[in-house]
Amino acid sequence: MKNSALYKGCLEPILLRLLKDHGRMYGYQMTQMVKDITKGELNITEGALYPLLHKLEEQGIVETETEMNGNRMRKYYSLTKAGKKQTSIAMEEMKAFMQSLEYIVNPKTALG
Amino acid sequence: MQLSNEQYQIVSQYCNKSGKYFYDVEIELTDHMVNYIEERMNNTTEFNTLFEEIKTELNKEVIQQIIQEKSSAIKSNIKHQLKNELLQYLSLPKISITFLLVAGVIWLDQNKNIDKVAGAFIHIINMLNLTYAFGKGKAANANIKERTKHLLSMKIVRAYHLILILPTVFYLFISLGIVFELTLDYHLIYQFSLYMLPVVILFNLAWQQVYIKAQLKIRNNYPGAFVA
Repeated sequence: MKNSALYKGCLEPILLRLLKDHGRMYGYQMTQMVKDITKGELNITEGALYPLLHKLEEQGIVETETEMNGNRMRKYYSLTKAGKKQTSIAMEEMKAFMQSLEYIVNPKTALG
Repeated sequence: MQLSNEQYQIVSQYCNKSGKYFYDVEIELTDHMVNYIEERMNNTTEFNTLFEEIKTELNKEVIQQIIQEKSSAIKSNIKHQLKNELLQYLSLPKISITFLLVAGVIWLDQNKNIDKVAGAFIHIINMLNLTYAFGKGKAANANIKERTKHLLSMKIVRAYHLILILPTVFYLFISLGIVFELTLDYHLIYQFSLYMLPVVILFNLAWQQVYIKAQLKIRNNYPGAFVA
């Protein structure tokens, strides 16, 4: 990631969006998908990912289930009903935020 | 390239030790590390190099932070479930039963035979613990005997269980006091306990539901941590 501070506040909506689009995912899969989508620009560290996932679980936004994958256990995360609502709100907030940034970064285009 | 059993064990042991031997922490971390290594490992990139790489990302401090967040998530979830169970109680028939129970206790308090009759009410709370000996309660309690690995989630649920079962121990003491006919001060404590009894019973019933559901969920999520 080129400037991690810029992405920090966006991590939660990013994860929510991923879970909304893919149903259920495991931790490593999320980090790799974000990396792929952003062409390596955004690299979520484990130290940021798991505490956030656990916080979302605490808030009832995501739920977990474990499953055998071959002979190994794997923990999957998915959105709860409340989480799906929260994702829609988060996406609206993100759009508004991006719009506001556009006004600042490209004032002429935004007014234009 | 898939890890050999030996390599998998090395990763698993690191996660086990760093995750303070909690199986529920270990499996998530192991899965993450193994995925990282397997995706990058080929004939030129060695296991040891990749393992060291991911160990710097998932170092002991990070793992400690993950454990703390997980603990906090479990505690919060328990409180949320307990609140939900208590709110579920707010239906007209159940409120009516509680009202009648409280009215019965007050009537007994005003009756001179309180010590002889009302003691039976106190034993209701002791009777409630019999729930853990049958059906789902028995299955939930089996987790304790059949557990083969440490689980963070189970440790927290058990800690709550021990704290929330304290009122039952208190009431047991009170009921024993009736047998031995203690002093006047004791009578005041007894009277207070009796008035509080419907509330304690309600709380106890709600906690039973939370405890049983939590234990069954743990069993379902981590079958590898219990005797097959």
